[in-house]
Amino acid sequence: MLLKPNYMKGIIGGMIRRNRNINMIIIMLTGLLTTVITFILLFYYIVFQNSNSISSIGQVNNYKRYYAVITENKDTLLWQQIFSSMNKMTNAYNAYVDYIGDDMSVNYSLCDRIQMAIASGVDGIILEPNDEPELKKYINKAVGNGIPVITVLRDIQDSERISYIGTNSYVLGQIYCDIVFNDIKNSLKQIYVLTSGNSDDKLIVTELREYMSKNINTDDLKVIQYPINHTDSFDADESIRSLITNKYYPSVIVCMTQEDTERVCQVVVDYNLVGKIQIIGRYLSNTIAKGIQKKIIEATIEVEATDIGSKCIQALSEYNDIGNVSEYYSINVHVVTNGNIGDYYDVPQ
Amino acid sequence: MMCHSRMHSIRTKLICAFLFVSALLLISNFTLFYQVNKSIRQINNIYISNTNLTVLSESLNLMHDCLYEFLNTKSDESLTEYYEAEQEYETQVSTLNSEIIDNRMAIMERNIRNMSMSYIDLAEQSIYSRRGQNVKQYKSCFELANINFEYINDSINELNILQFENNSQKYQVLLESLNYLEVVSSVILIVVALTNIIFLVVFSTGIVRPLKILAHNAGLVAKGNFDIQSKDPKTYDEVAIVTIAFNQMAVSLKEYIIKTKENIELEKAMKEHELMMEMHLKEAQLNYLQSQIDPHFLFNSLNIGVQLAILENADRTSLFLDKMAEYFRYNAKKINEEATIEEEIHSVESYIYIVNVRFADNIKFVLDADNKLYSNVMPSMILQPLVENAIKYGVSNIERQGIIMLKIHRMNERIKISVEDNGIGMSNDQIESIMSGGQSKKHSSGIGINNVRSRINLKYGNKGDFWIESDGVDKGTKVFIIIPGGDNNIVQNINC
Repeated sequence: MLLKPNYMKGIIGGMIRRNRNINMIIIMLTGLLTTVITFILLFYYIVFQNSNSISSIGQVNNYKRYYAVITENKDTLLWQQIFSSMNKMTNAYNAYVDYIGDDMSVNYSLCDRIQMAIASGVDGIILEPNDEPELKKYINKAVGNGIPVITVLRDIQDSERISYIGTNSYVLGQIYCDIVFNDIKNSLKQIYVLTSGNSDDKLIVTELREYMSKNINTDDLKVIQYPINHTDSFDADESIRSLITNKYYPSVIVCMTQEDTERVCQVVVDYNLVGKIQIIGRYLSNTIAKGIQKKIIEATIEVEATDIGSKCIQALSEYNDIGNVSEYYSINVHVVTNGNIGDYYDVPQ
Repeated sequence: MMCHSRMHSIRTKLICAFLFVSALLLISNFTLFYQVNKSIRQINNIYISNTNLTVLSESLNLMHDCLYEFLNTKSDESLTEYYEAEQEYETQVSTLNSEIIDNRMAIMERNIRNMSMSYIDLAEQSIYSRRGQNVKQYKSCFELANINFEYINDSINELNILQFENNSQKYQVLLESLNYLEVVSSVILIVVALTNIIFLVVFSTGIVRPLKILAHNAGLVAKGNFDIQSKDPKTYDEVAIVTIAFNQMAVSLKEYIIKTKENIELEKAMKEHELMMEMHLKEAQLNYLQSQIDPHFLFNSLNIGVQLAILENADRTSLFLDKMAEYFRYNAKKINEEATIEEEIHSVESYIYIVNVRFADNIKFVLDADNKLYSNVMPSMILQPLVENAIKYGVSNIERQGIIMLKIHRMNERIKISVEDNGIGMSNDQIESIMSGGQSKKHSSGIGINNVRSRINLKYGNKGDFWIESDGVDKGTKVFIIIPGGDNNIVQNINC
């Protein structure tokens, strides 16, 4: 069927008119839409910025348990690594970990912090003991209040702590013996071991003496235990300086803590005794790593921090879940020397 | 036809435009106000957490003082004050976070809350022991409560410091946010302004453009140019209605003017035609009047002559005068009218008789006519001038007997009339001269051959025809006339 030309013209004209109207509507709607989208984007951008920056708590996760970490060495590299590894385990074990009692106006003792943790109703305490004599009493008090306590790196064996995570004193003593008597080639006269009141330190001294008596039969060589008082400020540094400035300074100093290692390193440099005093250190830090690199420190014994962190959370969670846990978790140790420092630490230039 | 329901009036469009612009401005302003108010509220609330902690600390101190006061004095007033303070402190502590969440400050709140509960327990035990005069017990409990009090106070102070640091950061962020909001507000207002401008330009163009086109077209029409490009309006509003009406008016005006022009042309042609006819008739009439001083007088005189001839028994004279009278009567009567073919033939016969009397029967007249055509009409005074012309210029000067032959026959829907003679004939130049309107000599009737040709042409146009044929000198001449022979040209009753 053929359509009349006028009829077709009318249809086409109508379509064009409709198209023009549609174009006008499209222009209006596009303008409106663009403006609205701009508003929404800007609005939500502001809201997003504010919510991220201003919200009082922000994005949070709820946890079932709260474990308090108590140590005096929070700022050391080792504890930073341990704490970091603990935080990585929080989601897996539904437990939140945080230091307690630190960064306050009053410098609370470990005992106070345990008391604070008890009053705060934590679900577990991860404790690095020091030489405080009443620590055992507070550990027992916490356990008595149903709060399990785990000791880390140092142990208080006769306390009621549920588990110890650290190195075996015997193994550690063997390692020290190996470094002192086999690796150091200089003529040895006096080996000073800087100990604290901790029983583990005394065991290491004993190990060294036993090794010497069995393998080196000489009266010229002595292993001397040199107690360092860590409870009072600055006493430790003064003790070390008095030791090194002595006329008969030691040929080897074995350190049991990171701080003592750093102090000895600094004093040896200050008194220009590098190479004359061999330093056997403990743990790794920036200062210790540089000391090893510059051959001020002969070697240091490093532990696997990530292993410690994960085992702490694991042990506390196991205890809270099933009521039992292993009393001792062994941690791998490494001897870090000038030859392998690059494997363990990126020394800043 | 424009559908009313689809029509968008200018008023509707203006309202829509106003609403659109207003909506954009309102949305933008409300958004900005909302953000500004929100920021102001946040600034106002930013240090409220510090204030709350300070109040909490004051409440704790008050409670501890009251506890100490009671343990020291055991007074009822101090105990009442203690319970009031404890109630207040407990209320405030209950607002602190109790969940374990991975936020340092929230955890500190939780610790303060739990330590506070522990402290309240110890304080209650101290009061209980004091009232029971258990000195050792209340001293021990108070000592522990005192330690807890120190922990809580320090924790509150620590939390206060942390929150202050955090709130200070928030305050900085808010200040930056306000600066940012200022930029965003400017951007939004610029975007809104641009959108509104674009929209209003597009919208006003949609209204003004058809008006401009309409004004332009009106100007063209005013100058007499009706060939305007009438475009369909793009919109359906009052302007569109006016535009459509204007376009229709322009088209109607154009058609009307064309029609008027055609009518004027037609009327002019008709007037020219009438004038020509009138002119020719008047020319014929004038010629006739010039030649016939008074045909009626002559006709009456001839009738008297006929009566005298009858009285004197002069039959031939009587017949001659009768033919003369008949001839002049016909000329006088029919000069302005149409005549039947029969009347025209009678006129020719009368004229031939008169001429033959004059030329002693030297001219032979032969009539070859279809008598069925006698009632058909034709312009009068056509055949007689032709016959007169044939006699005067054809056969009057020849030695032999002159023959005039009149033939009238039907030829399809037409009638073919011919006047033939055996006279001296005509050259082609003479024929062309006569046919091109050259001067022809007038006859006794005063009507020339051109007059005959013109009247035939004016009367019948292309339906009639007139031409002259001649085989050459001394071979006679044939004059042909073609007239329409339809029923319209038949007259039923003709007055002679």
